Amino acid sequence: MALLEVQDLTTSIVRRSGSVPIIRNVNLNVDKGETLGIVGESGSGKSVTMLSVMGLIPSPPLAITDGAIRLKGRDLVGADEKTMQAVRGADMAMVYQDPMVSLNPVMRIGRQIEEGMTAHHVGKNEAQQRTLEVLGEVGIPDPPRVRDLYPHELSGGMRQRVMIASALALSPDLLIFDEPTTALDVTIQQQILYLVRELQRSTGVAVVWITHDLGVLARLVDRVAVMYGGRVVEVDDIEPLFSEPRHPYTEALMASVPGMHDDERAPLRQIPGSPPDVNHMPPGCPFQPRCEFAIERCTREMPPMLSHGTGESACWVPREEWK
Amino acid sequence: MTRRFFLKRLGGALLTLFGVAVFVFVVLRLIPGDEITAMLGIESGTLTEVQRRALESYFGLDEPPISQFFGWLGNVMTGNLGYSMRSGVSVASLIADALPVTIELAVLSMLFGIVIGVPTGIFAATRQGKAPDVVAQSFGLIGLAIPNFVIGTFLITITASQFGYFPNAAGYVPPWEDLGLNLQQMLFPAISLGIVLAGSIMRTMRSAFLEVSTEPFVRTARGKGLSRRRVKWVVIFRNASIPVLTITGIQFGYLLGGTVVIEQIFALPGLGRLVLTAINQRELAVVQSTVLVIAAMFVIINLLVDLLYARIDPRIEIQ
Ligand SMILES: Nc1ncnc2c1ncn2[C@@H]1O[C@H](COP(=O)(O)OP(=O)(O)O)[C@@H](O)[C@H]1O
Ligand code: SF4
Ligand SMILES: [Mg+2]
Repeated sequence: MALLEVQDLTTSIVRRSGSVPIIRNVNLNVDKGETLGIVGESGSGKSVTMLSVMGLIPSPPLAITDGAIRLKGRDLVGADEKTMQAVRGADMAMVYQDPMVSLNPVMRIGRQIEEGMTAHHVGKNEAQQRTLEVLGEVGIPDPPRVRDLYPHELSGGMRQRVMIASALALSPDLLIFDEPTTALDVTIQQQILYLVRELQRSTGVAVVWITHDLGVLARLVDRVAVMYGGRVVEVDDIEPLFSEPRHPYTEALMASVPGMHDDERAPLRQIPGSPPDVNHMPPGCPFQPRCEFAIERCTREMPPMLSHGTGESACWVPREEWK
Repeated sequence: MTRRFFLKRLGGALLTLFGVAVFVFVVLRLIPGDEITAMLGIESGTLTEVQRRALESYFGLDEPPISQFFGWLGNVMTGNLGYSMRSGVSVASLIADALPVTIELAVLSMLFGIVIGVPTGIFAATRQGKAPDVVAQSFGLIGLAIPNFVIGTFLITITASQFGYFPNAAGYVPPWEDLGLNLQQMLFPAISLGIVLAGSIMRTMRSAFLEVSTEPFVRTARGKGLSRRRVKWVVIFRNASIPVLTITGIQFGYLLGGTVVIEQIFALPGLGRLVLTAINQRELAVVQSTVLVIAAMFVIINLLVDLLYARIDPRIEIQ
């Protein structure tokens, strides 16, 4: 049994005038101790997917309109608030994109980590002890001092470490990172990446790492899900995905990342056009308006996900026929 | 809280008071009519030039304005607020009688504003767009739009003429003599002043609560598995109370201004009434010092608000 199973998940903007899906039929599996990367351009539905898993989508207007989410076999879509509260923080925890605004500005760092534990019935003393421990684990110097600081007294990188420490506090089975380094500068990015890899190795925690930067994933994850226009269009282990992508969008993404293309001399190419708007999805394949390999069928019919070896992809045109 | 922060605010407060002192002093000397004429009425016309000068000299009115001003300020610093020309009573004792009335009125109005405004603001925010929200918002707007003296007059008219109930008719009774009657006398004035406050606190509370609810750190709190209750009160309310505190501090100035009119309507012998009477009688010493005391109240409240601020919002200190 997978640790996390997401089946046919559809999350929509629900309005009185009707509902518009923003992610559709998303399928994801994360095994115990596995590291999954989710990659895609901004707006492709990565955050909404994992916020749906956490039960943290802003509702209204968003709502899960179809599908199932199971964590350790327990269904989360129909779960009541009490169940979700018990699961959040304890079984899975999330680190968000912008550490500058993700911490409560009027509460000391230590209290913010402790309150997550006391919410799950950890005693006060034990929570304080554990806080110092996790602050140390994420590489924060002098935890007893930092514990008593307010968020504004820390740099962005330090705040993100605090967020990670807070996520680690109850030793969850699954850690979700939503572009945790996007708001940070490059050296800090490297440090955070290194930290998460070490944590993953030492604790065996399963990780979902969301990014729009394919290049980051090579050093971090076992498996990659590529999202486009609210759908997963390709899933595969990292090596076959990088060496032989089966979806033109994955191929195009790779061509836009420095040092990732087969042919090192080929110039970097931005993907022409722009991602689709959830309100105006093309009827067939969502990538069709930007795809250089599109055939007539692509404008009419949505390609299904088909297995091939280690992965799956959704494209009418097999790699061999791309030209 | 750092001592520097406190000293800076204290310095600002003193500067404000000095500004008020200058302003009052100048304005009072610009309104036509002088103290001697006001005191003696028609008879002042019969004063000879020599008599008038003697009187002016006796009251210190012949000195140049600058030295009058600093003389007054110097006296105020040593606790001497001057004397009423008419009755010879010290301004300090006039204020000592009137101040508790105004403080009680201000505190009760404030309490009314907070007790009504904060819960309804939160209630409305948590039912955004639904019927209770719309109703609460409309009442908030009405409360803001109606001038306090209209509310006061309205309350008096209804209760006094329709039900024959007018506790203020008996003359003001301090709380330590008859608390029950005192509170009855204070109820309507406090409501008249508190309604506007309740309206603005409610609207500020509502919008701040809604705004804070969408902040990423609220999602973080939920993501840790905190209960809805804890997220609402410990995370959202605490952050949303910062702008409410600001607006309450600002509204306190309005409140003090409002007491002048409301004390008049409800025959309460507070500072506002003291000033108004003194202005009519050109009792410059009384007006000057009383206005200064009112300004001091305002400044002290704002200082308290600032200190409270720094307690709630740790980011304040670093500025
Ligand atoms: N609260 C919301 N209301 C309406 N639309 C939303 C909301 N949140 C996200 N969306 C839409 O859902 C789509 C996917 O968003 P998101 O998951 O944040 O993308 P990503 O994380 O991949 O950049 C975007 O087109 C965005 O406009
Ligand atoms: S289905 Fe057609 S349009 Fe879509 S990616 Fe494949 S070739 Fe391109
Ligand atoms: Mg995102």
